[in-house]
Amino acid sequence: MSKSKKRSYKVYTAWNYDKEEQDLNKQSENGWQLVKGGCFHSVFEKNNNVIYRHKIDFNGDMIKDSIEKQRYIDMFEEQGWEYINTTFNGWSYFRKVYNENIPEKEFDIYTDNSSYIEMLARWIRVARIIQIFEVLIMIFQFITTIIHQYSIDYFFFIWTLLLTLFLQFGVVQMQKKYKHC
Amino acid sequence: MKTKIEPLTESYFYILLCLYNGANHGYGIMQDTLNLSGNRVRIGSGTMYGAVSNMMKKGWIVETKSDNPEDERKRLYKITESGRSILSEEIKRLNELVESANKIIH
Repeated sequence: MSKSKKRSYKVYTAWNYDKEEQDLNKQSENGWQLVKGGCFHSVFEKNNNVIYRHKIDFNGDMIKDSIEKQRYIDMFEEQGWEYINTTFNGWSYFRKVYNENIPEKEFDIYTDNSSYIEMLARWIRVARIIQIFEVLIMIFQFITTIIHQYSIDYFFFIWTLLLTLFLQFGVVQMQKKYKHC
Repeated sequence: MKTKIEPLTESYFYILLCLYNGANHGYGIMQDTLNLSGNRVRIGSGTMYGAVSNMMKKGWIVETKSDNPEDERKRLYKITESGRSILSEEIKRLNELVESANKIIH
């Protein structure tokens, strides 16, 4: 008899990865165990016999190289983490069995400020690269709008501008986390 | 001309120190660090991966294989001459700090 499954389409932004971790932990306490994680699609399986704590880590560098990726996974598995999956953009989901006798420190993956800040900075760097592309696209769209005078060009320009501002909001949210070290 | 040396974080320091006398795998490094530091310094997986991959890029440590056929699957890390010299410089720097403190605070 196969375990019952459920899918969630709840959307999580990158800068709310910690809120997502808390939600996954709560799901686990309610018997729903994550089998595949993602920012707009998560799959859970019913298992009331275990409680897990989850960590979601950002590392966009190691996904390009299968040897590095395996090194990365090995380092987590060595410390008792179970690897779930990695999303296309570099977020990896891990879980570890929880019971009240295990000290909380064993569920931390970043144990000093500088490595935690490095993780945030990795994501911010990717966001900055996307923002630069978006600004270049906006310049192109602006020029096109002046040449053609089509109203659809205004629409694309505004849309790209909103995306850039949205990312900027995300970058600011990530930078706020520097203070929580 | 000597470039300005950045202090090592405790994690980097302990990783190099634990590898000083021989190769070890990630879990072994974590355990030795806990033992040496009296349970104070824990190196989590994210911190460990960041430190190890960074130090490999800098040439301070390299990956190596075990001689023991049973251990073949385990990833071992070994310190390089470059890593040893960085560690020695850091120990000199830390000694200088402690000596300065002893001069001022008796």
